[in-house]
Amino acid sequence: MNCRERILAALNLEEPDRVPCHLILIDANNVDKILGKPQITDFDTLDQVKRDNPDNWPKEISELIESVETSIFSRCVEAAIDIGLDCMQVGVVPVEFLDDQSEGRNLMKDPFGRIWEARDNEGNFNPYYLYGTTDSIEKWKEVKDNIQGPMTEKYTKMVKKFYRRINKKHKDKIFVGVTNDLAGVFESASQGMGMAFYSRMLHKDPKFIKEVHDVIAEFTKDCYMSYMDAGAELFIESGDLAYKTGPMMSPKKFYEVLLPAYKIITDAVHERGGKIVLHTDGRVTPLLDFVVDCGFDGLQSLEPTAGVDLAFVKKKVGDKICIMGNIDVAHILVDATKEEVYDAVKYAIKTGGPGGGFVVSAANMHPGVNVPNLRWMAEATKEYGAYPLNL
Amino acid sequence: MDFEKLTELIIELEFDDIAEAVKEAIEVDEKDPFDILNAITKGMDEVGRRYETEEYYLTELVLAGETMKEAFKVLKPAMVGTEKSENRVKVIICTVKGDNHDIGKNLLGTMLLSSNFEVIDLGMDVDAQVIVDKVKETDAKFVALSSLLTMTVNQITIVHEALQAAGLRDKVKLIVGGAPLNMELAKKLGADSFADDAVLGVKRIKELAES
Repeated sequence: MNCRERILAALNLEEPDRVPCHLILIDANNVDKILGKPQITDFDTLDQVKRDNPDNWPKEISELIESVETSIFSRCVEAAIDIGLDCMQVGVVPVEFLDDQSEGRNLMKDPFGRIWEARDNEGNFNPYYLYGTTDSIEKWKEVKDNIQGPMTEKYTKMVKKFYRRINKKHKDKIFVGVTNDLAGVFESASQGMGMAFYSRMLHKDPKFIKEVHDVIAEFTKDCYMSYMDAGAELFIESGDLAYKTGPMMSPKKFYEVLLPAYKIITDAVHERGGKIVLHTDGRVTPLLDFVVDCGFDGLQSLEPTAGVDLAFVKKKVGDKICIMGNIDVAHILVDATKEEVYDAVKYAIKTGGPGGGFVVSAANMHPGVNVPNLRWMAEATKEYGAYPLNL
Repeated sequence: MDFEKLTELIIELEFDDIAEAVKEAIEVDEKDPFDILNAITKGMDEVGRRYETEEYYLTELVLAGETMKEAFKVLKPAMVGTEKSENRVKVIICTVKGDNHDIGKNLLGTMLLSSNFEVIDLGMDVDAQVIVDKVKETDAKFVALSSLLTMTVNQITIVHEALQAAGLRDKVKLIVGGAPLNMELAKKLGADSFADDAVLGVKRIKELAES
């Protein structure tokens, strides 16, 4: 089997030739460690643009974002190939630099009203969410008009070009999925509005929150359809519906205000023969039925440090959705020994692998993850993941 | 305005009505502001209980915090300058250097207020030296740090060592919270205690304050 066939078999809840291995991202500082540092970093480019055009640099750098993101994600996929993964995901992060940079912090905004800081991660851009600005119904109306109009037009064009370039270069060596990391429906809504305003409106007027989710879902669907026009087959919807100790809101409310939005996306992807997985951090266990009912083909993360029990998840929904993840990024992929990494992978395969429908994957990603540990994760998957399993 | 009604407004997360109710209790019924605070505390305790039993979730906890904030806009001026207000235990709260997440920190702040602590909120992305200076200035008994990012948990050690260097470490208790942490790691990093969420955080601080 090739990488694509291996991943799709797992998503179809079948046994591939072996358990596939995946990451949601490799941080750019680690990509540099794997491939070598590029001669010109993102921040070198930013500094150059600032020097050349001190009055209008935000606009100029915003126009370069597409090529910067293409380069970042293409290198990320190249690093994933080097490590030996079967699948890496890529996706345009829809940000533009703010015209007003008086704070001096390289601030960016996205279509949902979030303000981000472009932090310097060893010369690489690291977008960091600061706060939301869509904190009134009037502001939401402006955001909605912008999403439904210019933003849909801009990003449906941009993503097609972006994906085509990256996939063409790497598709023979790895399966390139698509993510809307940092732009998922729930987080774009709750972070764009700020958790306080989001919670107030959820309590006072749940129909309003449902509308916000639906509008963002339509935008997401349109972008995903453009990705599919360019050949994409697999999507990882960025969710973050839970935090360390449990879901952000009650499962009942998730059904009421978010399920219809997710169905807009999952139905559209399925209609064209694609697959779609939900990524969410945190203790997701109370939401397993919700994830299945939304029509997702898989669930990614299954964070052990948030108390997610892989055996329980496998037993409860392992015959309905593909389960992906469970390799811890607090210790195992940061400062654990090779033996500890191998043991974690063996446990994951032994628990999640029987019968198929399982992908070894890190629960999340951050710049502190250690490259040798990532390599050990991929090596161990290849060593112990061949079907029939013998663990 | 009876106290049961105030308690119920908090439990039912009535953020649009609470300020008016507190105002009525102070101005019309001439209730003692600290009796009003007790009624609000009862409400927040019930919110905490509902959160622990998964009847309430994070969004309700955030909303309870918003309701508290509305109540305190009216209540705080009535409490200022009273003897009970002066004697409150001071807690410095903030998110560590490099981290701009504040949901957990804000929740802890409002829940501590409802439990009659004096909260000194330094905000997000706070340098260790700023914390040390504030401990010196206020004589706070607790420093509560939030770190949601794995990359910033080492800031706990930096704060711990900065307090030590300033000769203040024995005078304050350092309690921490955040997704990458657990009690073992928190203590290894130099903290005295750890809490998984704001509800537990208040419990831990109360226990330490009473010990």
